[in-house]
Amino acid sequence: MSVLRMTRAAWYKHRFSVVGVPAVFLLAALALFADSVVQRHWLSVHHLSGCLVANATTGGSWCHSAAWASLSSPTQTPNVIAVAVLALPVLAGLFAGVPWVAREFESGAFRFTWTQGTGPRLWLLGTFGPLALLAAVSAAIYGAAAYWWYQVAQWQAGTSIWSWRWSSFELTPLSIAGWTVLTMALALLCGVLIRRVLPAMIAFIVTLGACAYLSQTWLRPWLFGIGTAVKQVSSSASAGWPPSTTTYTVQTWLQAPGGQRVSGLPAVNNVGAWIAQHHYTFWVAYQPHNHLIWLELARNGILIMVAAFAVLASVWWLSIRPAD
Amino acid sequence: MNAIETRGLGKRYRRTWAVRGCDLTVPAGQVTALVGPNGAGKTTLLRILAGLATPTAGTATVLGAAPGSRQARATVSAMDQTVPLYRHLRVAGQLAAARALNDQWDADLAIQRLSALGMATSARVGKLSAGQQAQLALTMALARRPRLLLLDEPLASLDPLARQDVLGWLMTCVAEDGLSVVFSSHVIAELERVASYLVVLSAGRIQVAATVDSLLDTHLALTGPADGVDDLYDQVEIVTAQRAGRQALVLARTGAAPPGWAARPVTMEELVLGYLREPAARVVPEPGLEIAR
Repeated sequence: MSVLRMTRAAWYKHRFSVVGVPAVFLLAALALFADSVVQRHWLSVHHLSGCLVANATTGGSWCHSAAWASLSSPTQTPNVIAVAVLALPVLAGLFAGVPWVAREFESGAFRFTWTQGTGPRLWLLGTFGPLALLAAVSAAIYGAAAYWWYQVAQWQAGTSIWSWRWSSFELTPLSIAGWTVLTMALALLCGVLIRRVLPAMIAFIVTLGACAYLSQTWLRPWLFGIGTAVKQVSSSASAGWPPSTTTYTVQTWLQAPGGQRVSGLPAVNNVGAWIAQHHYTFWVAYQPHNHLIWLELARNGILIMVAAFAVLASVWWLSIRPAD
Repeated sequence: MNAIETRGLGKRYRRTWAVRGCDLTVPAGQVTALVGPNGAGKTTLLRILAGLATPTAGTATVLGAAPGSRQARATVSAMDQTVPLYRHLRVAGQLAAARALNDQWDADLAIQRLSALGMATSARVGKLSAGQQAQLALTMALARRPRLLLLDEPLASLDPLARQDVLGWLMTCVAEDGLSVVFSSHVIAELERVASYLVVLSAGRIQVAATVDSLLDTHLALTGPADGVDDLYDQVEIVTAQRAGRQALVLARTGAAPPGWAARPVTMEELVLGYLREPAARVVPEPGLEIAR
């Protein structure tokens, strides 16, 4: 009941961002959706719709050739837009999330709420909750539009459709909602810790940048290495591999007849012959396509956990340093 | 039940104690004036009592509850000296936000008060004058129907007419609802008309805490020869003595004038200024003492 009261008060106090953040997400979703509809219609007219399937065996090089033939030249614009698409949750956190709390501290307006029968914890969660929830839901819708749009955009850019590419991995409803929740939580934490809008914005950018860097350089590769399937491909290196473009190769290695791994290949002209001569076998550790959704759930679950930790840290910090 | 009780209350900002060793008991149903020089710790003390700041040492209760607790928030209203308002909102929006935040909200009181002040609810809060903003904040503090009202410099931005009006309104609320009020101010002459209890805070410590009547009854302004001041110390408890040529003006804690000295009742302003000039002088009741109304 108290949370509902605080939410109602947050509506009166922060009407602009409560409406603005979902509106921006939904407008952007609409733009991506409209663009995708136009592009898909063009593909349909040119009998190229089948090329949007993420499997080279169905579209294959013909689709790739068709892309080059039908476009005057493949453009990098879709990739640029893809980055811009991913920037929107960051902008929401920066310009709505950080000021949401930090401005109340900076202006001293929090004292109004705290002396109107509402405690700091309720004020914090009641203020943060509605925006975070609205932002997450609208970001998920935006993510769905972005996912649909990026299927065409990849093709337009002249690249094959591969779900394991980082941009494909991030441009999903789940990932965009996950990042949005994290940006909002980090915005809250920076606002509560620093309590000044501009320094909190800078801290937010640095913190979020660090999280994004760790996610791309460590977390995702680490997750992709978990629960891999192992397969002996052939006695000759890379023959018959990959089985399809929907898998992700984590590691390849040569194995001696005794089971020990062979490190490095010699500088010989015919590697296949050299492998056969030594009776080595070629092995691959890979992620099958059906693992992708679980890995995506795991990665975004970790983002949500970090976000929850940031919210708890904000509540804890506020309880030990309420206003002074 | 006392409105306020503190024991050994202290608040330190880095290495500086804003309030230290503060033992204070303020009975309920009183209008308490909290006075002291700038930097004495008035705002810090009021913020601790309002639950806006956490003490570094000691304990405090407001109407028997810990400041900031659910029980305290339901019964204590406060107006900070910064006049915290959402200045981007219109008056109506500010009132709506306040109504949403409170279980108990007297919308009629708020509307009637703002109408009496001629304040349009369509006006943007940030465009109101400082005095109007203070009036709005005070209205919202009272519309919660609190049992204890903590006001930090509520009169600072008001013109003399508005001050009189606010004090009159406060006195009406006290009389009608049995409201306890604690407010800090530098305008001692105006406090004299409404305050029934006086707390003087100096350098973060409580110097005086007593009913105004008892203080005025037990203090006299003595006028006499300057060279007789030293002997006077043996006869009465002197708070402060000021020599001007051959004459001396002494604030003494006594009920009767000693021989050779002319006595007259003191005003509250003389009393406060006398104690502020002599920080070592104290009139503080025993800790834990329940003061009868």
